[in-house]
Amino acid sequence: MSLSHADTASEKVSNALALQFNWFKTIHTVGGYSGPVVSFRSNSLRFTGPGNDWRLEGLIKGSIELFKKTQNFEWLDIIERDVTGFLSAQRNDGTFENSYFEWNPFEGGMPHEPAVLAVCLQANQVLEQYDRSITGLEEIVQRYLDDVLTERLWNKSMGFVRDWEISDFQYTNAASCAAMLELINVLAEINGDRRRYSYFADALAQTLVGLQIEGGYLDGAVVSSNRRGAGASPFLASRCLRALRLHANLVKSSSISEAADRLKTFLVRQALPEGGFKRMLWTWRPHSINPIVTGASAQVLTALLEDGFNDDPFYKLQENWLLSLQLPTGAFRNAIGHGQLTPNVDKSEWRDWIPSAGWQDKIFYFLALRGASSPSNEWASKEWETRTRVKGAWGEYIENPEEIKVLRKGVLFYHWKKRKRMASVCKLS
Amino acid sequence: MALGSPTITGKAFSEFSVGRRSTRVFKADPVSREVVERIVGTAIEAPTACNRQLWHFVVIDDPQMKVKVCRMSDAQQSYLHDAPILIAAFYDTSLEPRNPCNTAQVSMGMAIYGLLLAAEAEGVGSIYLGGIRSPRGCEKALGAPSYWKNYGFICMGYRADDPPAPIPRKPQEVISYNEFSLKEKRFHMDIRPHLWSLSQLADFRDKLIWYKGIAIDGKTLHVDPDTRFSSKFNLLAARAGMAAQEFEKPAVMDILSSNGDLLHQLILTIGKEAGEFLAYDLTQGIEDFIEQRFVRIYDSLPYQFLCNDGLDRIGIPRDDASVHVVTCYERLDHFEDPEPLLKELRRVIHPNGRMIVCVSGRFYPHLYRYRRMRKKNYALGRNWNRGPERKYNPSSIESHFKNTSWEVVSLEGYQPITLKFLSIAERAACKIKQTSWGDRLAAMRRDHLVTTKFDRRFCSSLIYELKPC
Repeated sequence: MSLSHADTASEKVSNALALQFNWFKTIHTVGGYSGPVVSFRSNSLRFTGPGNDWRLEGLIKGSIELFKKTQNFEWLDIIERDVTGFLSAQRNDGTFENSYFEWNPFEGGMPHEPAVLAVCLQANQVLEQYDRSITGLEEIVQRYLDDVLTERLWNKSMGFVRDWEISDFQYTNAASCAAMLELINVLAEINGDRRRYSYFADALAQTLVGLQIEGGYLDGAVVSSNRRGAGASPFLASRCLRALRLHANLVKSSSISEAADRLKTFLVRQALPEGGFKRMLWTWRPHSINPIVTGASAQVLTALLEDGFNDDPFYKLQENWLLSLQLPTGAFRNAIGHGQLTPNVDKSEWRDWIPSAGWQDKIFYFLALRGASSPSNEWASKEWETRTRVKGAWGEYIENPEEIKVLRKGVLFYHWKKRKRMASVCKLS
Repeated sequence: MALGSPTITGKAFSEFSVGRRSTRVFKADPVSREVVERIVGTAIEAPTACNRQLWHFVVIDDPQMKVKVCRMSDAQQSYLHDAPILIAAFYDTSLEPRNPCNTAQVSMGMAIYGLLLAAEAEGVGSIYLGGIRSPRGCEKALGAPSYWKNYGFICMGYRADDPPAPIPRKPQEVISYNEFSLKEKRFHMDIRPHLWSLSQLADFRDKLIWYKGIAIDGKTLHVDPDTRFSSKFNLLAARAGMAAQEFEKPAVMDILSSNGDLLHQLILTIGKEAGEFLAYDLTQGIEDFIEQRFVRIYDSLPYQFLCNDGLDRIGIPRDDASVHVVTCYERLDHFEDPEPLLKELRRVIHPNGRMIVCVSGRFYPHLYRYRRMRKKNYALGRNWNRGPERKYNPSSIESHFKNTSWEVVSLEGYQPITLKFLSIAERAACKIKQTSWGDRLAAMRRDHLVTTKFDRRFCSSLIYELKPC
């Protein structure tokens, strides 16, 4: 469903970006970007209220990038709106409302909260240049680090951050450690005080290095957690690449820099020939490719781009693959291969279609790195309808600027009126 | 020192022992081995059966070893991981294998209490932890010979909390002279809560909350099954949210939610400003508890607490037809006859209102529950929602609904028994390296978590949406 009338590659990207941003407008409401979440582990289909999870990370980063490229102040307004919206969702205990993505409306989402806070700090630097800085942001971040990460989620014995306050004390998640490490280092870069959280930063970097696999096919991979038999996800590991590189540059550590290099090589190796990246890899069992989540693949690409990996044909292939998956609504196809043994673009299931802002934002940021657009554009989101599998039978997926519907044998199985906090019908898990 | 001349007065000792508290929040500061040795040295002055003194204490201060022991003993309490020192208490039971009074345990208990008092005297916070699922795992992790039995852990470290004093029972309640007589029947006479009177149920719920310790310093400390992150819990709140969006400013009531988790979830789902939230429960103690949790998060309490009118009957202090959505998460299971509660809910519900009820399914093999009951080591309160309380089959609960003028709009089964077969097939597929099939079966398992088909009768929980008729 690519946009065929664009002349050049960068024009194609710019048009795709414009259309996608107009799709984002259809789901934006008071409090942020709403919509259902379809993810690997779980879905949040009934609750569709605005989320303060990592969906804001790509959107804010992409907006910063586009502002830098276009100097269009509408992007600056969007950055300011999204950052203040996120910060206003902070609760008295330091956590943020609706920050758990697939578990929304829960608070305390990891790695969502530290990831978005790090981006807020970066956004504030841009806003500062135009006298629009957000007062007290550093205090909010410090309060979050003090009250939540180092006080409640820090495992004193093992020296890492855990995901849950009241259970799974001995387990950590590489992406959460990476997000916290990145937040600490971004804060240190801004306020110049590296000593305050250096104990935590060093311990987190060591944890990530400790989770890295040495030798074999998975050499350089950072496994997703310290649980026995945990696999390596290129998507989750891409966050570690950014965090490790930043830390290596800050502390001037050659060993951490080398770990980041090995991780980068691993990520490049996981690209699929047709486009996208493998989902999960293990040392002890065959790899799992399905589903290929488009947003997850875009995040790996941005991590590589940010890390300075230069290989134009590689990016071109991935870019074309992504663009081929854009729908007339402006959103990109959510995934390929849910419920299939082999990835096949022509076969689909309802989960392949329902777009989640938390995946779309990653594509938005990738496209923003590759092209440019303005927030006001003529590319209107259009209706889209396709035949798809729904709970073992044929059905339809319908999306337009007003609503998303999933029908099974003509019976309505899912209905979300866009911008509403709850779905009105949900017979899907 | 002459016989009969104590060095410490009875009053001073009483004050000291009354002032001792179990510590659940520890500073990271280490406790020196000298201090630990002094504490253990005092503890082993405790009396012991036949003066055998067959105790042994393993002091664990190595973080890696702590993690290993916690994992192998299946201990889940947060303070276990945070305390700088863990002491595993062992007793050699080989000489007292069949003692009718279990003197090995008694001797160990006396030493442990001495240890806790000695720690308090040294200014070190401590807590005894017997709520571990596998003491055998601890014995294995530490390499103890088979005849050395583990009797739990003592977590130790410098105190970072100031826990409130519990309400102790009065001596008159626990003493009788010359014959065994109880002043009042207490809840633990029968562990099936649906057979208790309303006051016994209320009494237990008050104590359960204190036991779980969640309210202490407003922080969740004791680990209970984390209901807020269960998909069933999420589903229930979302169903209520979907029903509530039909009203302009809905009044949403959660009944007997105990620790306020579902109430909080409803507030998050529907939006603090979008509705009026009500929490109905049996006692004021529960209100205090829920309030402590919420003040940590909100500037002003986002809900109104409705306390039952007395403890002799069910009575919700709310006008007729004034509630739009009611949620009830596995609480009808605590009543032998749920009809008085259902009638009262029927009275307060709005004519177009909805009630979302979740009850435990009777025909589901709750293996965990049977296993625990067979071993007779079921700890009431620890697994409050997976215990000996009443289970319903659809026809029995539906007759209760019918008798109290409720009409079933929909019934969904949560976690049908077929999931177990899918799970077995998934594991088998992974075992024979057919991981793609395994992934596919895992996806099917997620899809079939909630069912509306025939197998909903064989589900772990039944989720009803009801309307008044």
